[in-house]
Parts: sequence; structure tokens; C-alpha cells
Amino acid sequence: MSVHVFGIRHHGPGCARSLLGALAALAPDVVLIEGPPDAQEVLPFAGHADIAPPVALLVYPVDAPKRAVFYPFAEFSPEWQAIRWALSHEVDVRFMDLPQAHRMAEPDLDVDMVAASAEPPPTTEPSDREERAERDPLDLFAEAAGYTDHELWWEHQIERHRDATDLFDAIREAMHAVRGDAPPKNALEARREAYMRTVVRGAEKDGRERIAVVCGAWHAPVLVDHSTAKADAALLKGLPKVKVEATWIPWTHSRLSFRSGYGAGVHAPGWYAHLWTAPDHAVTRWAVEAARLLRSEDLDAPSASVIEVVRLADTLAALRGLRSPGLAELNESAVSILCHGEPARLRLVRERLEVGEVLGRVPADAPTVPLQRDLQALQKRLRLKVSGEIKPLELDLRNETDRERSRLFHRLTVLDVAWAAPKSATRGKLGTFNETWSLRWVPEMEVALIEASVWGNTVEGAADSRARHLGEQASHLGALTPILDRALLAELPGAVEELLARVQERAAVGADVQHLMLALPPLVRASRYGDVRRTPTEALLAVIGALFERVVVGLRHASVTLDADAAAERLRAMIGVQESLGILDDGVRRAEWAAVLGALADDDAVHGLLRGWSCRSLFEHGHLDAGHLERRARLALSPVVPALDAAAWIEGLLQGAGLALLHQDGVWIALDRYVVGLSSDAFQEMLPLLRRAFSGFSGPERRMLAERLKDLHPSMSGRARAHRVSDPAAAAIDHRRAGAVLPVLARILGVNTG
Amino acid sequence: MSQPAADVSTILRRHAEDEYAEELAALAAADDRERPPSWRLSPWAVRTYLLGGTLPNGFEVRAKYIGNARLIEIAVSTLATDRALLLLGVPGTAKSWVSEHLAAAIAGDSTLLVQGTAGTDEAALRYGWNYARLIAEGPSEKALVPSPLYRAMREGKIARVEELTRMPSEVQDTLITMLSEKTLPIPELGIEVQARRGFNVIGTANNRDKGVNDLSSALTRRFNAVVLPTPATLEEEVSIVTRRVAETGRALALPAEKPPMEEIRRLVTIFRELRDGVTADGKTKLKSPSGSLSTAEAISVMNGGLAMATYFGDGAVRAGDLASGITGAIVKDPVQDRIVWMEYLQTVVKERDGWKDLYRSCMEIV
Repeated sequence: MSVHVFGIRHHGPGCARSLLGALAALAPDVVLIEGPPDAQEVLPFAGHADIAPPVALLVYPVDAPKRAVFYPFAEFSPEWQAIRWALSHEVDVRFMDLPQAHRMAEPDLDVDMVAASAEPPPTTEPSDREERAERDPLDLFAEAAGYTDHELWWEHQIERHRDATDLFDAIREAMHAVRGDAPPKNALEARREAYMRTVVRGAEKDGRERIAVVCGAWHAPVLVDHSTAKADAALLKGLPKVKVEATWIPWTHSRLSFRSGYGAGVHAPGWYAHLWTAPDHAVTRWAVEAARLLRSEDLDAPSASVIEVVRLADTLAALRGLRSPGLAELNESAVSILCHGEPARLRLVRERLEVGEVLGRVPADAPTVPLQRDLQALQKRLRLKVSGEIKPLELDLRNETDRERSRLFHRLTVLDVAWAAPKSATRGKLGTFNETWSLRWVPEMEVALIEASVWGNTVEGAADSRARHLGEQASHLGALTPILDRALLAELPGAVEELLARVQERAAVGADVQHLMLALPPLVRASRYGDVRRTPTEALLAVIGALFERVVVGLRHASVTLDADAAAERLRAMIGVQESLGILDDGVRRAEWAAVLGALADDDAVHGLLRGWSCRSLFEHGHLDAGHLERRARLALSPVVPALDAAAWIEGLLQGAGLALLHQDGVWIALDRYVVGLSSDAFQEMLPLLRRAFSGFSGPERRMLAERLKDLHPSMSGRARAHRVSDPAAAAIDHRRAGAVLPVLARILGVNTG
Repeated sequence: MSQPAADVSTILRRHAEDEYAEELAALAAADDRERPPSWRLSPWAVRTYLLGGTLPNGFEVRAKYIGNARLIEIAVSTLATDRALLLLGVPGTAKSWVSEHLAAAIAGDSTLLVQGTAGTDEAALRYGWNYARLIAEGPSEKALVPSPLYRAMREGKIARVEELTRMPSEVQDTLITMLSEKTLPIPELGIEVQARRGFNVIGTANNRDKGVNDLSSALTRRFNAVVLPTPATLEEEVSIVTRRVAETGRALALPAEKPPMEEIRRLVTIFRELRDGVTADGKTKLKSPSGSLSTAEAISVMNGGLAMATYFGDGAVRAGDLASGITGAIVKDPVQDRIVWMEYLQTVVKERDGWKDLYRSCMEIV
């Protein structure tokens, strides 16, 4: 009877490979793995043909799924390989960590701490060096070896160590030296190790011959011949217990990396995947992959350079006394050769290169995740049928059930589970208490739902944290407000509060006027949901006010020297603000807005489009009378104004449908004079612009306009007629001379004139 | 070579391989690792030469480059893989300094140098002709005037091309054949020079100024680029300035008064703050002047201060000795930079404890 302890690093491909070799050599009759025994029941799914890592074991208390804990596994995780090995060789495999049933029952244990302790060694970068050393004694080794990063040290010393017969003994000895005889770091660790020892003793009692123990390197030295059964039993006595459930869920590479905050301990799963699949060619494959990704970004990356990257990385590794290049050498070589010394270029592809996004798969018959269960419960309660056909659904939000349904749909939208799609795009504009949806469930949504389960275990909780996350990601104000809009519709008060604060903060810290203006309409629309959705209208209005004031202050300054495209975009934003003002119905703000528009209309440095539209808007809202409008039209269209400028002004003025302008003869006269005054070349040039300017008018409007033009102004129409008459072709046809040509024409055309 | 044997002690600035001959000899003696063909030292010894260290026999090698050791490792590895090396950086980030020392350590010869200017022509990179001889004897190898690159190829040494991007593009491209085929054809004589092993090129270029002649992509592909950054921390920069001031002071025969640490720290602080556009505590935003305010400039300001103090003062460097140097380094544009400097003096220098003397001295000059 013998117990063999294999201390590993979670997600270390080198460890995984050595471990497989060791297991094959040992041929154990039981494999014990550091993992939650609560998941023992679902463990066999790991051998299922349909499972594909990265996957995670999810363990959650039945009554509080929020406190779920994830145990992620990648293809190259040693634990995963050990489980697969045991299952395929029909060897008994057991989890041996302290059950989550006990750990989750500890009221004083922070949820986060539980989650973090499931993933030793800790990988977030604590600012305090001392604290770090205390938390991770592996650092002492790394520092002794002259490494600043202990991950790097481990990779060089162990992961890249391909001939590893005595590797595990060495690891255990090293850990023994580090831990010395110090007691476990805390009560939790003491209990976990006591439990692990108990499981090992149990296996011994069962009469197992060769026991393989796979655990984090840290625990390796204390699992055998350490402490007594009695002491351990005392430690584990009377632990509280809650009911927990476990299942498998698909995981992704990015969530293995610590950039996403889960701290599973791998910063470059993409690189590890190469190391695992092709240890002898990992360097080359990585360099080729880097070049391919750079090419996909339209950057030069010839194969000749790839060869040089590999050569330089090899030389660097030799210079640094490494067996073969690691990620650092490869990155530095790639920057130097493929990116001509500019790290920014590599950053473009770094995420895809180092993380190498992959989504795992779990068998269909694996137990469901809490989020799915929550949704199923909601669907049942709200009497919503799940079907693959497209089904329309009309909701009246004044009715409580319908409101809840709408809320559910909006929340699912936040989670990117597109079960229900809003049918009418104008929902924001039409009645606030009616919504039309079309429902259709497709199998991919199952995946989307499981995907979304990382955000939380209830629809509400998940939507809330997703919305917050999106808010964090939003790079500018324009991106932030649509999220806020969605959060408001989904009635996520917590997220809304945070997003509002974020909007305010963004607006305060030098946001672009354009972004500020684009942010207004969704906010204003949201303020109208009012009591129907229990929107925090007060807070919203305060933010709207702050945004609006900044727009008023900054608009004129930001509107000079815009080119045509920028002016068109600015105009769209301004129209949005104008519409929002209509909804807000606030006299003071309208007056302020009118003042800004007046300033814009008078400022020659402002693009014609904006000036024209400002005049039009002022006129429509009664801030400008007909006489003034006419005067402005004459000014804007006077001969000294460059033709393009004038055309832009016209386009701005005629933006959208124009019934109100139809009766303003003065404007039309000015316009007519302008058109008539154009030289024929300029007219040709302006014609498309002018046509476009009128394109917003409806057919009847155009007809009415044409009717009016006929008798615009007596003198004008007279002049126009005179114009036509003065045309030499039309003026006087000498019938006698014309007649003389007819026989010749007839002969040419072959017409018999008789 | 053929230069008249000058008295060594009268030479203003000695080549790296002469100045540090003792270190190079000690390194070569202690170096038992594999050397690439024609290299005087192994890559490990070259690294030690540049980054400093203690040899097994206790000999202390001074650091030539203070900063990120990984960059030097990339540079040395590049040369070991027979790829050409391109050192990039803003002015005063020790590009030429590193290139000189690399050439000295690897080939024992840092003199094969071509300075790139707008007027550099192909002959400077390939070969020229001794016209008297050409006319008298006709084309022959004797009439040919080899360029530094020509000689480096023939002798298997490192050639240095300074300010690569200042040369016209068509002249730059002359390098392509030399770097990829490692050969230099001489069509006039129907022969070619094939590079001996050990030949390589170190180019330097300023990656800050735009509008000079960017390298063609064909040429870029033949270089491994290493960007030398400005010193990362105040401490690092202070130590660079201290060391270099002491060294150049010795070379310029300034009295061996130790450069005052406190003044160096002040000087470097001013330079860093203006360069970064923010005060060291990160609390106040500042305008940056048009100059690059490199470490090299800080060194020369300090040297100027030392000279002032030695010849016109009592030998101890004081604020007054540095004021004109600092002002001169910062105010490159008489209008804009002056405003920047005045603002800095008024808002930062004036308020800082113990900087009153500096403030007064500078205000006298501005």
C-alpha cells in the first residue's frame, strides 16, 4: 500500500503532462483530486463524449445560488487530465477537498474568499509586496531565483521542464521547505487539509494498493504522515452544513485568465494551449499565430519575420539561461521584429494571441445551472410558453403580469439572451404603456443563458451585474446612455444608480459636446417611463439637467470649423436635443436652447447646414418672425456667400418636412433669387445639393410648393416669364425659314412628304 | 591605424574600447562561454559589459547602460542571430552610447561609423574612389576608398550607422543588399566583397521627429527594432546623471569634486516634471516645452554647472551655477518655451521648500 502525492499548479500544462506520465507509470487503483466532493455525482460527466473544456464545475447552495463557486478546468489542467485518465482507465476517482456544503455553511466566511481559495495560488496582484509574500510563499522561491514574477519562475522551472521523473518529489520537498512546520494559514485551510488527510486515510482503509493524490503544490507536503486521525477528526467535528448542488457549465479561456477578474491563475491560456497540444512546436506555432493575427489587422508580418522571431526568442532564452523561450521572450521578439519596436501593435492582437478565446461545451444531459432554473420558474409563473416558433405578444404595462413579463424580456436582452425581440422600433416614441414583442426560443439561447450565468444566478442578479459591467466597459458617454436606457427598461435599480453616477461623472470630466448631445435623447425618453416602470425620475432629471447645461455652454464653441460630414452628424445630434426638449417641456430650457441656436445662426464660422437648421428651428418655435427669417435668408443667400455654403444653408433650412415654411414667401423669393443668380456652371454643381435639400418634403408638399412658386411674387413671376421669353430658341421662330428645312429633314428621315 | 600616434592623455574623448580596455580585457579573460564567430566576447560577457556586474575574480565591471536589462538582452541576442539592430528612441536616450559600447564589446572596434545626414551619399555606405589613382592607374582595388561598412564586412566587424532616418531613402536602401545578401558588389571591378562572419550593422534613429526619411518596409524588415525609453524613475535618472557627470568630468579634467547629489536630484526633477507635463507628486499639470529635455541634456547642464563652479566659483556647485544651463536647455523657443518655464518657476519652483535659491537665480536670468 502506498500513497503518492502529486503537487501541481492549477492549469499548468507542464504539470499536466508530467502527471499523466506519472499516473501511467504508477497505475493507481484510486485517484484523489483536490476538488469539492459535493460534485462527486456529476464527476462522471467529465468522461462524457460531448464534454469539451474549458468547462467549470459549479457548486452552489440550493437556497442561495448567488453564492456559487466555480472550479474551472482547461484541457491542460492537471486535475482535468487526471480525471479523464481515471475515467478512461476505469479507475476510481474522488474529490477530496472540504465539501462546499460545509464551507458555504460558514456564516463568517466571505463569499469572495471561498471563491478565491478555490483557485490557489492567488493571482491578483496585491500592491503590497509583503502581503503578497505572506499569501504566496512560492514567491520566496521565485525571488531567490531572481524572478520578479513567480508565475514566470514556475513556468521556467516546472512547466517547461519536460523531463520530469522526479518532478513531484522535488515539488513536495520544495513546498515542505517553504512551509516548514508553520501551521496552516487560517482555520479554513486547517480544515481543508484535515479533510483531505481524512479522505486519504479512508482510501487506505478501503484497502487500496496505490493511491494517487492530486492537489495544489502548496498542500502536497502535509497530506501524508502529518497530524493524526484524531486531531483531524476534532478539527472537522460538528461543522455546519447546507444543501448544495453541483453541475458542469461551459467556461471560456478569457475567464481562465486573470484579466477578467476570476483569478483562476493563468494569464495566457492561449500560450498554454500551444504548450499542451504541441510542446515541441509551441514557440513556432505561437509566432505563426502572432503573424497571422497581425495580418488580419492589416499589418505586415511576412513569414521571413516569423522565422526571425523564433530565432531571436531562442537566442534570448539562451542568453537568459532558459531551456527554451517563454512567453516573455516571444513577446519581446515579436515586438522587436514584427512590430518594429512598438508594443502598441502587439497589443492589438495580444488578447486573441495570449487568451485565445475558446468556449467549452457540456453534455446536454448535465444538470442545469441556477440561472436556467430561475428563468424556468419565471416562465412558469408568468405563463410564458417556450417555443421554437415566432410568437407575437402584446403587453399592457398597466397590468402587473405584463409589466413583469416586459421586465423579464428587457433583462434577458441585457444578458444577450435574445428570446424576446421588441417588435416596433419606435417603442420609445409611441405610448409608454404598450409594448409589442416577438418571442422565439432557439437552442443557442441555452448556451447564451449558461454563458450569462457567470454574471449571476438569478435573471435579475445577472442582468444587474452585466449592466454594471457594460457600464464599466463603456468608453464614452455615447456608449453609456444606451446601457442606462436598457437598465432602466429592465428595472435594475442598483445598476441604474451606478450607471447614472457614471454618466454624471463622464459628463463632468470633459466629455465631447457631441457625445453629451447624443446622450440626452435616451435619457429624456427614459424619464418618461415615469411611474409605469418606477424609474428614479428625480435622479434622471438631475443628470439630464447637468448634461443639457453643458451642451448649452459648449455647443457654439464646438460647432465652428466642422466639415460637411461632421456638420451632418452634429445636426442629427441637435435634432435629437430639440426633440428631447419637446418631451421635457421646460420653458427655461427652451429659452436657453433658443439663445444658443440664435448665436449659432449668426455665427459665420458655423457650418451653413447648422445655421440654416437653427433658423428653421427658431422660426418653427416662434423665436424668429417671418421678417427676420426672410432677412436671414437674404443674408445667407446673397451673392458674396460661396455657393456651397449657401446650398448647405438651404439644406439645413429645409431639413425634414416643411409645411411651416410653405407660406413664407420671403424665404422662397430669396431662394429663387439665389437660384436664378447662379451661373450655369454653378447651377449644375448645386443642382444635386438642392435636390437633396428638398428630398425631405413629401410629394403633396412639393406639389403645393410648386403651385406657390408660380405666383410667388408678381414681379418675380414676371421676371421668370421674361426669362423664358428671352430664350432665343423660344423667342421668335421664323416659320418661313424653318419650313425650308423640312424637305431635307424628310429625306434624311425617309419620310414621304408627298 | 594610420593616424599619427597622439599622446593618449591629450585626446578629448577616447573610444569606448580604449576607455574601457581594462574591463574588456578582464571580461575576455574570465569569459569561458561560447562566442559567436569573430566575437571578442560571448553574448553573456557583452551583457555584463553593458549592464555591469562583478566577475568571478572580484573585478567590478561598471554599468554602461542603466535601465531595462531586457532591452540590452534583446539587442545582444539580435546581433548574435546575425540580424541587424535598430536602436530607436527620442534624442538623449543613449542610443549612440549603447551602439558604441556594443560594437566595442563585440568587435573590439567602435570606429566603423557612418553618420547619417541629408547629405550622406551612397559612397559613404559602399565605397568611393581615389580619383587621382583612378585616372592614373584605371579602376583597381587600390583606387577604391572603402567605406566603414565595406571594412566591417571585410573584417567581420560591427558597423554603426547613426541617424539612419536622416539619410535620403535611396541611400538607406543601399543597406538592403548588404543586410540580406551579406555582400557588396563592385560592378566597376567585376568583383564583390562578401561579408566575413561577425559582420553586422547597428543603426540608430530618432523615432520622435516626423518628416524625416522613414525606413522603407523592405529595410525595416531587416532590422530588429529596440526602443530605448527615457529613464523610468527619478532614482534611475539621478544615478545616470551622477555617473556620467563624474566620468565626463574626469575626461574634461575638471577637478575631482564630487557632483553634489542634491543639485542633481533637483535638476533631474525639473527635467522629468517638464518632460512628463506633471509634477512628481502627480497633482499639478504642467505645460511641456518643445525640447526633449533628455538625460543627456541634464548631464551636460550638470557638467556646465561643474565648470562654472570650478572656474568662477568656489568649486561647490550652487543653484546660480546651474541656472543659466537649465534655462538654456528648457527655453529652445524664445516665446513659447519661455512662457512654459516662467509658469513652472512661478507655480512650482517658488512654492517648493528649499528651492528659493534656484528660483531667485533663474528669475535673474529669465
